[in-house]
Amino acid sequence: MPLLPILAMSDNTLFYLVPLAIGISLVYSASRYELTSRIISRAVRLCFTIIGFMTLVLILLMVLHVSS
Amino acid sequence: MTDPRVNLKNPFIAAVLAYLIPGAGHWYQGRRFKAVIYFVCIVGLFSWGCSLGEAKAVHLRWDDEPRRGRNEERQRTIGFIAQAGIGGAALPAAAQFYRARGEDALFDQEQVPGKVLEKIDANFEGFARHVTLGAGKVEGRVTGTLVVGRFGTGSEFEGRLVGKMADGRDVDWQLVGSQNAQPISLEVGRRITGLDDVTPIRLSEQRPEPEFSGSRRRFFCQVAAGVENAGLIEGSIQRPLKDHFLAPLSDNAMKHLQGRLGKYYDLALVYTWIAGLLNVLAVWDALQGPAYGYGDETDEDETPPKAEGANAGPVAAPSATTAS
Repeated sequence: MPLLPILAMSDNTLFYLVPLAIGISLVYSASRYELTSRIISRAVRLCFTIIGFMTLVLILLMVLHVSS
Repeated sequence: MTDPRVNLKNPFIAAVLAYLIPGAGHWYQGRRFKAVIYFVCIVGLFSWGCSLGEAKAVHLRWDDEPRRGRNEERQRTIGFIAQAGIGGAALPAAAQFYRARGEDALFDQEQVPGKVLEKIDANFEGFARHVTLGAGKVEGRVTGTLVVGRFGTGSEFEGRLVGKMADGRDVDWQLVGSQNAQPISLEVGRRITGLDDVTPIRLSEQRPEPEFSGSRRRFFCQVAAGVENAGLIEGSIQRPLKDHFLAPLSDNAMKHLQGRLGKYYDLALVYTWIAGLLNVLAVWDALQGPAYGYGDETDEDETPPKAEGANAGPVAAPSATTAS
């Protein structure tokens, strides 16, 4: 698992993505809808989408790095 | 068109409030849940960003002319446009920018003693480096009081040097006074050069630097033993809050800050940029209401959630507003 050493780094800035993704998701969803339950459900979905997408990019970059 | 179930009250007042303090406009409109979301998320991200950047990531610099010796580079913090979106927390930086540009920030063109416009009477903290006194080299921590008169006249330093001699002996010397009947004098005033927080160079005569910058202001004191130069004491004094809070940083202050914080300075910028941009969404929401509608409209991939108690009226036809 080439990703594990990266994630295990003590000053890994990747983890700074998480609060950023949560904040962006909540504010964006709150600006789209008024209903609390809809805001939360959309925010959760968006947050996982952002983190999932960034993880895919990370994996892609790692694959390119290892194979080069 | 805004959903009629959303009471925007006076949307312009709400938008101004939302701009100045994230969430305040929504609180005014009675949209308390959103107000809490906006305040916690936006102010939280912005505060964290400021913390990562040691409160120096938010500042405005906008050079009209390229800096000499910097490859014709203009220092312009374009990112401040994004940070300004958060309103009240970032606007003082614009005020500091204009203050730093003002005539008060200029200093005498002769550069001697340089950048000491107002009388200074402050606690000094620093280190003696390569100072040779008496039996040999001594290095150590220097604390004391630095008094510099207006335009650098009548300077005095009185302090204490606690350190070690080259042979390992501990020293605890009064810098103004005498030690072992050997007079030690610090020649300050004529040779003192007040420099920026982290700017160990003199500034060009043609381009005086603003006096405002980071939280501490660096000073060098030349140590004189008789007529000979005995070494250097390097340290800093606290700058008044009004002269460093959100103040623009000088070239070298910026360079040193970036060098010291590394990627965390970049993270600080990203956090504060995003916080400012997110507040633009919040302001728009206060002005126009939610962009996609109330939230109980049927969606292609979701079953509509039930409308909430007090705010829930009869479910009307979906009334998505157009917010771009």
